[in-house]
Amino acid sequence: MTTDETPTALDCGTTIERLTEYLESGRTPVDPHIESCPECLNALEALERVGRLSRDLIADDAARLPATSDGWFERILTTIHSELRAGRSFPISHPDPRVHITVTEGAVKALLRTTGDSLDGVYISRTQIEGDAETPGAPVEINLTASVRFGIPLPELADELRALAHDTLLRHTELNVTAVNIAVEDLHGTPPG
Amino acid sequence: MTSELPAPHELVTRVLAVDGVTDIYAPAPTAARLPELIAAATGISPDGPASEIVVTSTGGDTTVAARIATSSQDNTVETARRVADTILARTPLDAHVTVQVARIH
Repeated sequence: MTTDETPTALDCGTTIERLTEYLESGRTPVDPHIESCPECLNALEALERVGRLSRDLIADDAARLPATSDGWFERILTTIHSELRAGRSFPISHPDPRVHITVTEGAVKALLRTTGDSLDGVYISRTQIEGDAETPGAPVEINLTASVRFGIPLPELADELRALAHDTLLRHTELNVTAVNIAVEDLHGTPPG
Repeated sequence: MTSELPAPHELVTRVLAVDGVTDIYAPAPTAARLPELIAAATGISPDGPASEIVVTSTGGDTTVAARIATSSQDNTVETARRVADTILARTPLDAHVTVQVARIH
């Protein structure tokens, strides 16, 4: 669902419609802006993955699919659009006081999506970084919402996803992650029989 | 450490050579709207060739800013610090260095 507050474009001005159209054209002719804009590239990657999931579901026997809400893909597209803006700046320390290093919230969220999606049968539909993450050392909580293929044991999957996300953030940020919360909001795929 | 700023395109080459750096991007849109502030320290005209590394000078403070992508196979924290060190080694003592990681892939 889109609201008046929902961003209609990334920080660079590119819309999700333009990115979708570009993907559908096979990224040709090459758009020099999109191919050299980090926010666009982060969003393109996420859109490519949701596109693959969509095709997998369509290729499945639709008659046997568990019910998926009509607005599921629309919600995911809207979420990708709003989450992958550059957003806040998370600090990375450096011993020289003349140096100021940050990693954008959009980059971290895109990384969390890629990391979660690397697990078989998982699609990350939403990422949230809660807390004062712009203050060094402040506690932050990570909330990941996922769609999971039918039949995968959820407790084990949640443990694996939680550990993977935590390790990834330790490796690529200096966030003080105090919790990684996993919510599974959809099951996709075909139940046996 | 040097007393003069190198040309931005030379810094771009150096930064791209840092382990773990996969790309370097033009400044964010807001920074890009400040071309008139570019390079009082470098002497490079804002009408000159565009560069992904921006040098600004305001009120006597010089800042060198880089916006990068890093490899997810490396440690981004260490990569970003190496980039800052690379720039620091080629900028005057009073210059500030800003590194923004905009993509990890």
